[in-house]
Amino acid sequence: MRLADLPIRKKLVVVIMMTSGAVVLLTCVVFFTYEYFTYRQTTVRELSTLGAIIAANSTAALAFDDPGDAGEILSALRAEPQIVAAYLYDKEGKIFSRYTRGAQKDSIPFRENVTGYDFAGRYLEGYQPVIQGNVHLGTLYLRSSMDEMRQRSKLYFLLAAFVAVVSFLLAYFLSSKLQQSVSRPILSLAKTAGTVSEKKDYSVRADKLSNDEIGSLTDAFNNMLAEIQQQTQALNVHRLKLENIVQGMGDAYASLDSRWRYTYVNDKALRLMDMRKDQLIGKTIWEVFPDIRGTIFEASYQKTMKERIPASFETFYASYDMWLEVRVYPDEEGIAIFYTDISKYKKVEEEIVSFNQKLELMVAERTRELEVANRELESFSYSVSHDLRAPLRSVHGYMNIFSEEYAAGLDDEARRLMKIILDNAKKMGQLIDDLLAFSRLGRKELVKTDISMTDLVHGVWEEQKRGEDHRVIDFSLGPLPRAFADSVTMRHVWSNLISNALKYTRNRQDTAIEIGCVQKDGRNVYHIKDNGSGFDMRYYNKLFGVFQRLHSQEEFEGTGVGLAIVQRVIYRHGGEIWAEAKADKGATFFFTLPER
Amino acid sequence: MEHFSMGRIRKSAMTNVCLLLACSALLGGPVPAALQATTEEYKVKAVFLFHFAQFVEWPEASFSEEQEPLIIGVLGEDPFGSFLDEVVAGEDINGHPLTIRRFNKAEDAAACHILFMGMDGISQLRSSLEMLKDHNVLTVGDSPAFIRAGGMIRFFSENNKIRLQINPDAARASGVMISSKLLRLADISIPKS
Repeated sequence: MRLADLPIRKKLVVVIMMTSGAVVLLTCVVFFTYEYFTYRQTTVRELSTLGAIIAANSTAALAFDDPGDAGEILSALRAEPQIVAAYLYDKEGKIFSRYTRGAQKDSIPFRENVTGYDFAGRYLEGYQPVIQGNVHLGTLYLRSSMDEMRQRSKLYFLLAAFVAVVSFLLAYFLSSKLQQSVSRPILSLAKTAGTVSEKKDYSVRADKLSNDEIGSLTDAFNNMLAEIQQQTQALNVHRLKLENIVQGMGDAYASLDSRWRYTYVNDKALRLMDMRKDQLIGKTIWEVFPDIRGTIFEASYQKTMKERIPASFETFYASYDMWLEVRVYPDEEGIAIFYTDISKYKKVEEEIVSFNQKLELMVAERTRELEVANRELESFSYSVSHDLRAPLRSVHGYMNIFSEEYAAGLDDEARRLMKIILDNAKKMGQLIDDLLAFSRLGRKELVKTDISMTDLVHGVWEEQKRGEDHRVIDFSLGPLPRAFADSVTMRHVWSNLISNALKYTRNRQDTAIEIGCVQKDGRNVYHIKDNGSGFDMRYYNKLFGVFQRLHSQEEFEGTGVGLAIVQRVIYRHGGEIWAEAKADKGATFFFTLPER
Repeated sequence: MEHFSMGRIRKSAMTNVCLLLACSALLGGPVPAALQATTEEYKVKAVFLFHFAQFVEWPEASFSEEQEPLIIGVLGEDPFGSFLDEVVAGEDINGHPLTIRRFNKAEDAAACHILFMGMDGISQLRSSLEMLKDHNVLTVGDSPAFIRAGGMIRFFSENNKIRLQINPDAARASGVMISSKLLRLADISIPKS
């Protein structure tokens, strides 16, 4: 187990123990080494001192050849148990006297020119010259056993081991106690953190046990918890709101994570699927609905999941016998799916479609019937008009003959009545002609070409103003765009409109007529404006009717067919026509023509 | 005696002895046994005389100069022959070269530091020692009555070994200090006077 993975309590103890252990060990080693060398030095010094004393005491014995005395001196070494052998050689190198202790039996030969003490194996030994004054009298050899040093070393070692063990135990005891001041706040903090992450309870607070860095850490941790708690609350409020929205909305809603598992399903969705929440949450959509594999469902879900773009589709889901409108959106964790049961709408839509089809059929039939009726009516009115003309012409012809032949024999009253008959016959003829013209125009085939409206209007104006030379007329002709229209019928249009303008301004001192065109809503709107008697807009609905007149015959003559013809031509071209006027304040007529 | 023969003699001295013995051997002259024995004994005594110089201190006044010789004197008959000269040849004690001088009268020997008195007669010894009493002279002899006569150190034989008898009072009276080391080896004898 690595030191970094140990619990902090043990780590502290181990660190302290290792540190103190190293210190104790080093101290012991230094102490031991120092003792060892000091002891060696001391031993050498002591032995050499002892040697010097023995040598000094032995001088007389050597000088006066008294081995007994020498033996006596050497035997004093008994007091020093570590001295195992002492030899006194005369100046010739012969053994003069000797002292041995224990098993030291072999005699040690004299070695010339060797002085000083040295360690040799288990012994410290050395030679020392015996000198009196400046006379060399002999040599002393001493051998000291190092057993004591060994004993001592052993003792020291045991002592060091004891001290190490005791200090180790003491260090363990102290570190176990003292580490608490460091580890306790950390452990308390760690425990609180564990509780928080385990129970997700952010209301817990760590106890601050010290005012050091760990204390600051505890404060920071608590602040963080407070922050998290606050945010969690805010999040919960938000989540509840969202949940209400999701539950309250009309759609069924389900969300999937990136591995296709259900993470949320609202109540609508549960009702739609007829399932419980626990049957869905955590399961993949493919487990729950294996039948949507390979359908538009899977294709759309995969597409949204992969490309992160919304998708929507309508499909009939046979398992539920239901039409569904499905919308898929990418979200943070995967996709969100909204289902709407559109079976009702689909039914209504189908009904509308079939109803419309029926209606269209009906309209077409009615139109056909109407067209037939219209044609019959037109041919009827044409033939009636045509057929009416012959007897009328007979009435008018014979009345003419009658007035020419018998006018002289009749009185004034008779002549006046005769004239009325003739005028009315003539008027009736005019009416029939107009009716025929109207009828013809209605049936005439339109030949549309590109025509110059300016030229057309100019020609009509020149023609019309010929009978009005005595009048002062302010005529203005604005630029007119070319038109794609039938020139013959369009000539009728301008002819009628200009003659109307001239007719209804007849009573004006100064006549003003303006023709122009403006572009409005992408269409060319032609207009003709006069300052004539105008009309009351209340009667506008009668304006374009056949034989409908807003003025009396006496005021302004006419048959009431002109504007009907104009309207018919414009309609047949696919255009529109309308007018604006006020009684006695002039009138303006507008019409449009479709572009090519 | 074998033990003694060349025993404590320094190399230079030993070489001299060897030379001497070799000479007598080469000359082929028969050395009388008695003489030879005496000679061996006095060789040891000669060496001891030399060694006394190391274990005895004289007062400063006994040397008028720093390098004045330390004089070993022989009074009367000389039993050492030339051996004593050979033993001390080239030696010095604390800067004082050793010199051998021979005297016939005790009054002449007052300048000695060590004086070997070879005579036997107690009266003769007593008068000689009396004469030297006030001088710083270490008196040495081998007469049995030497200490009684007022001498300081006496050689005597015991178990074939030369031993010493010392009267430290006599030495002290003459201003001569005998080392305790030396005293330790010797028989201390203070005569009743």
